[in-house]
Amino acid sequence: MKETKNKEQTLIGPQMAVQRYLDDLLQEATTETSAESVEDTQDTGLLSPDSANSDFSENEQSSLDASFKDFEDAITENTDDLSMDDDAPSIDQPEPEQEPEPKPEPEQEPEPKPEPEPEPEPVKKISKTDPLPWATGRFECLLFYVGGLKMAVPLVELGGIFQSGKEKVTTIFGQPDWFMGVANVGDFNLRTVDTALWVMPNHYDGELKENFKFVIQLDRSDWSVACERVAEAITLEPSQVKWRSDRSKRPWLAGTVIDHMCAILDVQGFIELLDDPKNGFKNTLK
Amino acid sequence: MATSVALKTANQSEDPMLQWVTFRLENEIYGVNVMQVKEVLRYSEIAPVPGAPNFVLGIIHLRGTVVTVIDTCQRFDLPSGEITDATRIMILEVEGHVIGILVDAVSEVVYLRQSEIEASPNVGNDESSKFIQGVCHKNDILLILVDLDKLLSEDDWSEVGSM
Repeated sequence: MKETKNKEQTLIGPQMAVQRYLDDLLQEATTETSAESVEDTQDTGLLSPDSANSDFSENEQSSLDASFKDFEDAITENTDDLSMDDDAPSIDQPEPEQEPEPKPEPEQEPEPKPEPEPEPEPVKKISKTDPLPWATGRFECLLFYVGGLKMAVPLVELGGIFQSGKEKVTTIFGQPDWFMGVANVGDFNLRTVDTALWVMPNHYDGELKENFKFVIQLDRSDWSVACERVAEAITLEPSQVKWRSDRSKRPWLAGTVIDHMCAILDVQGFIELLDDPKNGFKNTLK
Repeated sequence: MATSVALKTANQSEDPMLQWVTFRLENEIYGVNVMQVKEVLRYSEIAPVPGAPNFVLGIIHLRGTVVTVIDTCQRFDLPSGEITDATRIMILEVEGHVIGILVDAVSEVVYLRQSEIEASPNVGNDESSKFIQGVCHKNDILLILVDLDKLLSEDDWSEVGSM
């Protein structure tokens, strides 16, 4: 198994892998568009699947598909976990397996008031199929780079950008590989995520860690994503983005922008995923 | 005057000042409660014990007493470091047992208020993550505070005892 991976790595450099990953994201978006074109009203003009595929040989395409299947499977597990916590029922296909769960025991006490839950959840949870609140009109995003992959974070949910190379991140033993450690920036500590390992786990083995120079704080949370380079801010119209109609699969991904060839982060979705203690995705990465 | 003194005393009891001995392991700084540290020794030959568990490096003689030395790197799932001039064996008292741990260097004693200690950013399921009691930012360094009482489980203690 390892041998195959090594072989693949020598054949495909990280740059190529990233390019393919992004292409694949766009290709996936395009496929969704054609399949759901009737119902999806948010679609904009996109590349045709043929043009997106044209750069890949059949072998490459199939290996890519296979690796993404792992990714999707992992995410699906995670989604199952998350959906159990969600207050608002997601509007996905009704799953017959959920029958025994919704009807718990008649323990429904008449609300004995003070349950010692300290956090009243300041951020309102949005259903994974609802449009994102910041994306109803024109919005600004900051572009940043992770291993050649261009990503964007909406400015309204950007907590801050801090210079923090690997030497400034304290690694803590016993944590998953994607958890780089704690970056001390200013007066607080940010839990830092190896962004590339989250976004493209099957195309990357952590070799970019040395190159990360900045951490981007996700909203006001104590989570941050590491990146190599921070670029300019761009203004986008909602119509320029291919929004994901259902974000339950990759909760961190809000959509893709063809004009800029970049993926937009769903910051709240990402935080939710990172905060979930029994996150299936995390477990598979470990 | 009397009120301010009383207030100060109350604050101190609510937020006690703790002393931590810090040591270095694989470029990170860790801390252990000073009350559990009996002494710090320069590195001396550690005699391996056949059949000992893998987290045990061996034994040393300390003024006529045999002390088991734990392989800290192995316990924390870190790569083993080299033995240098700075390498030390910290003799600790944990759960009524006296053990030694091998560390890359012993740094200093720091004073921390209980309120300064943050919960460990524990996101993993790894066994070793339970050894972390918390973290604290002090003098531009993030200290990782180790919960020595969790370093060895009941089974581990009985294995060590039967060596």
